[in-house]
Amino acid sequence: MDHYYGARKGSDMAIANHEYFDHYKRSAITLIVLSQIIGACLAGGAAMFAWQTLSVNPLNAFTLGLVVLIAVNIVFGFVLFAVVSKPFKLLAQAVAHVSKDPVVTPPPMLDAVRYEHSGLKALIQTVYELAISSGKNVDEPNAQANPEPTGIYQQIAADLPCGLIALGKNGAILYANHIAPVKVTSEGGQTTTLQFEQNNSLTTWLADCEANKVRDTHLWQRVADHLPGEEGRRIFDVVGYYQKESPAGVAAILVAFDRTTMYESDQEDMDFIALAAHELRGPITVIRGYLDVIKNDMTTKFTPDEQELFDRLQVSSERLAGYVNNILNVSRYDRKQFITHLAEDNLVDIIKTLIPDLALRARTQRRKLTFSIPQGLPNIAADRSSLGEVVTNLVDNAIKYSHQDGEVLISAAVKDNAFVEVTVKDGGIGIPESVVGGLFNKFYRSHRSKQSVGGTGLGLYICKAIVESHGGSIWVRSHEGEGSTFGFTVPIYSTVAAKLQAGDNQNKDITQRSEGWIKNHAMYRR
Amino acid sequence: MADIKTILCIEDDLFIGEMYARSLRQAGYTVDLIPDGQKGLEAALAKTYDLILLDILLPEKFGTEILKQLRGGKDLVPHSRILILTNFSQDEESRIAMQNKADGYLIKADITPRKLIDIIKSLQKVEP
Repeated sequence: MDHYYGARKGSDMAIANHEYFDHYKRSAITLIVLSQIIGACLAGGAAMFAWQTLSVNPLNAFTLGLVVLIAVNIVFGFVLFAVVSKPFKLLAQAVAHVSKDPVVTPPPMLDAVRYEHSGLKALIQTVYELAISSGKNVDEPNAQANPEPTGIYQQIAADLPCGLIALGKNGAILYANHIAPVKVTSEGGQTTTLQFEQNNSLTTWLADCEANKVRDTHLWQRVADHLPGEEGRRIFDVVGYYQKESPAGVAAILVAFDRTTMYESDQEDMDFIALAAHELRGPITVIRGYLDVIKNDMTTKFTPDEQELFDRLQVSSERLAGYVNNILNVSRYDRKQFITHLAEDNLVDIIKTLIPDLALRARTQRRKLTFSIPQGLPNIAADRSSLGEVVTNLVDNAIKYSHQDGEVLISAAVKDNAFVEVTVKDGGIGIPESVVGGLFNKFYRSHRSKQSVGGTGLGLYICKAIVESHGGSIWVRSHEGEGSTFGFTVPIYSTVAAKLQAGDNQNKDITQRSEGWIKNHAMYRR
Repeated sequence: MADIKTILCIEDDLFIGEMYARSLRQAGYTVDLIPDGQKGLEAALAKTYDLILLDILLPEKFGTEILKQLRGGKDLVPHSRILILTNFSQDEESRIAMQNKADGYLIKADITPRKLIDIIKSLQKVEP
């Protein structure tokens, strides 16, 4: 192939492709005019020669001139055809050569200086270059496409300051540069070490593209290649480019940008929050624990007034514990570290475990807490502790933003045959229409911050995250001055059971084990 | 597995440790309280406990390391159940790694001694 590239330099000096035809036309016209002049001269000369020198009569001399003219024109005609059609012949040869014709066509010979000067060589080289850039291998028309980049391309791929991985149709790695997060498998192939999330993995993306897309681009953020604490852990942002029927057999290209430094400082923030929470939780444990102990041992001796103060202490300690959990959950959620693991559960059972705490909260703050939950609700797919936090947060808000002796009503019903909907209704101060929209945003406390009530402004934000990670939705209906109703849906277990079990082996295992596994927090949640 | 009667509590926070020990003793359990990771590991191996309550952030030796030594390879305490009791929010991976070796994982701030006793009773019913 080298002689095509090699000659390119010289041809740059000659005729550019777009000038080729004009140049060619000028040459052809010159040739035609010249041949006609020569033909006419020869015919005229022959007639003159016959008439003057051989004394043939003029009519016969004219006839002879005509015959000579015809003969000369026929000869020149063939010569002209050969000369004028030569570029087309060579071009056709070149096209046949690169188009992998079943009849193997040798490449045209273009070494003559005249081809270089006429610009034809450059033109035909363009054909070759187009063929090469579209992935056809000129030198080995019958060989398999070879995706290994060569020469300058290989150097560029290797020197890229980011990981580069080319994947074949079956997802196998065809090429990876030395920064790319890959390892050699026991079979001798390569596999990526990137740890994608189960429901947003490379495999699911490739399968989706294969089924539905011609071209696609996908971004994964914060993908690590090792577990935390392992040597040499890197965290990447990964961009994937997919192209169906790519000529070189490369189905997808992954570019992995190493963002370890940036994300590690996030990790340090997370560690700070985890440590701060640990510090806060120590005293909370002791306060809640000893209040529980005192309740057991002492409360029979309390006066009604003392009992009231004691209950307030207990409620406050429980709310404090809840807020610390909210902070941790939000921190995890914002770092995409919050995943709920759903198992078959019963709403009534979940709410029953919350009742002592909720009832005490309502009683100490003089609210009437009412439950209206029908028997026989279908089982739901739930992460028990997370869902408990949602209900607790909503009831906590309802108590906060309602009037003394007001009612807080918790009810549940089947919705659309696919969900169980839980609502928490209060007759409190309500929410102005203008601020309802931002209610589920982080740190959003609206006009309510003017009220003398506490809260982090994180509660509804994390409620929304938890409900949505269950596959449900959360909503609010409110009239200012008349109270608010918050509601959320969670899927009925039977409608998602197959999906839960098929989609995620780890989750299946957890579902099976969850009966025997004791936990009071989202062990399996991030 | 035998009923739970003897409990080893490895907990460095004196307030929390004594709180659990007091309530568990009142409920009829025999409790050894050890506020140090290394000594806790030695105690777990020296004596047969029905239940080990294990904190994570401990002086001398972290709970994660103790768990690894007890159940990382051969199960050195097949007769014991292990409950992780912590206030430290670990990342998911480390937590799952502990999950496979222990019988439960609890956030201390979310339970009271009374709830802990309920959990121990329910643990007894479940075959590991």
